[in-house]
Amino acid sequence: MNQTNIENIKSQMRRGVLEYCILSILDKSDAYASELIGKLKDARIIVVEGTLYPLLTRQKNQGLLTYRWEESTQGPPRKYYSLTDKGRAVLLEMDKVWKELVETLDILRK
Amino acid sequence: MKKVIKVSINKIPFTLSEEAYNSLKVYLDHLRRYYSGKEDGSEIVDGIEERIAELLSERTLAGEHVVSKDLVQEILDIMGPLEMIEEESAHADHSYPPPPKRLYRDVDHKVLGGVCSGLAAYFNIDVVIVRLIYVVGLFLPSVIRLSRFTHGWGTFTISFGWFFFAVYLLMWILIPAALTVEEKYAMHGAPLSARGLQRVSREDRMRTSSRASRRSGASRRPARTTRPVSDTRRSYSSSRQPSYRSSDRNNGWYVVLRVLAVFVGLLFLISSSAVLISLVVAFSATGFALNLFPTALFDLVAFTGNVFWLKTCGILTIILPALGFLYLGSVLVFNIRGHKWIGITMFFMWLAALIGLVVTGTHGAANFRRHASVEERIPIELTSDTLFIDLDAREDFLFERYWIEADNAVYKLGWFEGKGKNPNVVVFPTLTVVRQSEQETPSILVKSGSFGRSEPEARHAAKTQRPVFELNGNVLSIPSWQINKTDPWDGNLSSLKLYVPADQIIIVRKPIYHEFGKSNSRKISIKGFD
Repeated sequence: MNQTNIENIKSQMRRGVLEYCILSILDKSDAYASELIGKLKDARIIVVEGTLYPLLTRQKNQGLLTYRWEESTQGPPRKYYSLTDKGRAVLLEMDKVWKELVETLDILRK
Repeated sequence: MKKVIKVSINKIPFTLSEEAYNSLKVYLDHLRRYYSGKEDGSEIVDGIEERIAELLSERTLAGEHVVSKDLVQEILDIMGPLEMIEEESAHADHSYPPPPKRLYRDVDHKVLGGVCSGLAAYFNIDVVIVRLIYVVGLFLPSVIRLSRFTHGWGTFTISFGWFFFAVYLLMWILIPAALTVEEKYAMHGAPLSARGLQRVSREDRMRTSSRASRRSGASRRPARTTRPVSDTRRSYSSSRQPSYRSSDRNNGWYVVLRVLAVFVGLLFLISSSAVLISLVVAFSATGFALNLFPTALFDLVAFTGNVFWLKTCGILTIILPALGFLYLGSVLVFNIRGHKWIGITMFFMWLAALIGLVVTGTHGAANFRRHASVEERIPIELTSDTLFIDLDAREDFLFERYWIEADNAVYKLGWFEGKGKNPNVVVFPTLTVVRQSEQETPSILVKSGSFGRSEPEARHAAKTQRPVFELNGNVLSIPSWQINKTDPWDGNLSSLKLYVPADQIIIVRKPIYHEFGKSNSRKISIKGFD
């Protein structure tokens, strides 16, 4: 397996997990885009910020999340993202899959 | 003193240095262009812009008054390279069908304009082979040389080198560059599978890293070769053609239709280029043969009014359909899709030219509405058993470019004089010899037929232009008449019929010797232009 293949698998894995992460963050509390970015960066799941925006829009179009405009104390109003019911359902599903995957790896690594 | 630019990003005012402004503008413009027409595209760009504004204001609060190029660069690095953002979106379309394979210029692997590399990607062959063909073609000597007609009128040469050069230029102009990730997929015809993704993303990564190494250098260049905005827009709009939707592509009928389209397109391409080439050859051939441009022939006919529009419309009605089919063929075969207005414009131009041709034609042909002819029999006296005929031309007869048809009864002669745009046609009445018995009186039947707007006008023209002759002893002199721009042909056809006894010898002395024999023993049939 060459380097590009490995890169490819890595980026695919990261992509999947990133969507899961966004849903997880929003499950706890609604957030601005910048808050989301901050948390994701702290967790070191994203490196560059620009890629998040197409992703958010996609998840919104899939009906997983929604946003509302909120006035901010400084500057123009900002988007406040929150999870939809569908998003919550998908998140539960993902939690289950994640648990299964972790268990699988645990079994395999023993 | 330095120039600064004040801008408002997401309604927050900033002061940017010129360099900073430029690199930010390139970045945002590129995103806008990429997302124009995409679902919620502006939302994505707005989000990114909002974030850039946020990051900028965080940093300017820390004390910077004018946003420098380095700060913008820092923020753009945080946002990430354009390719990564676009790839995220391209990935989002994963569930959609692979884009149809289209011909693009591969500007990532270009030497000049990326035409060769684009062709190589399209036909899935090594770019080295394509380049080799081009270079060999470019330096092929002028193989086709039509130098048969080199009587001092120059040579006619088709140079392969120029041909390849022109084709390259044309393709450079017509074929859009593959700029976005999406277009790169379409260029390779690779579906958005892991393999295609991998191939394209590897290239992206290579470029990203090479850019990173250059980053310490001067101001950051636009991420890619820029092309006029209209180009990229055009390719987006066409990539959204509904006929290439997923359901169609998986359908067996789609494949059949595609094969059919390529076949028909190839036919269009071949036939239209054949028509265009033969037009060029025909036009140049008449140029060599008659030493005049074919449209100059229009000037020789007595059309009413201006012949310019008649000529223009005539040429357009012939050339436009050929060009149209060439375009249609290239659309069908290579999927090169120009602006939709190209086809429509061409069609209406052709229609206009056709209508123009009919209008100017009927208007111009007004002089040919009616026909009339006159006949007169003039008795002659034959003084010897031989009758000589001299056909007198105003100028000396050039022994080139004449036409003559003669046998033992009929003699026709005429030729072209003059050059280029002012040709001059020299014509003589058709001579016909009719044998009769000794008892009948020898005579000459003068016949003249002409056209005109009305019957009397036609008759008048026929009368004034009827052939004349002069009989001195046993020499019959017949003058020529000329057709040229100032004295154009109004459709007059005239002839002289000689009614002579069977044993009368008749010899044309000037300008070409010809005997009217008693039998079918000899026949002159020289067509000129040789």
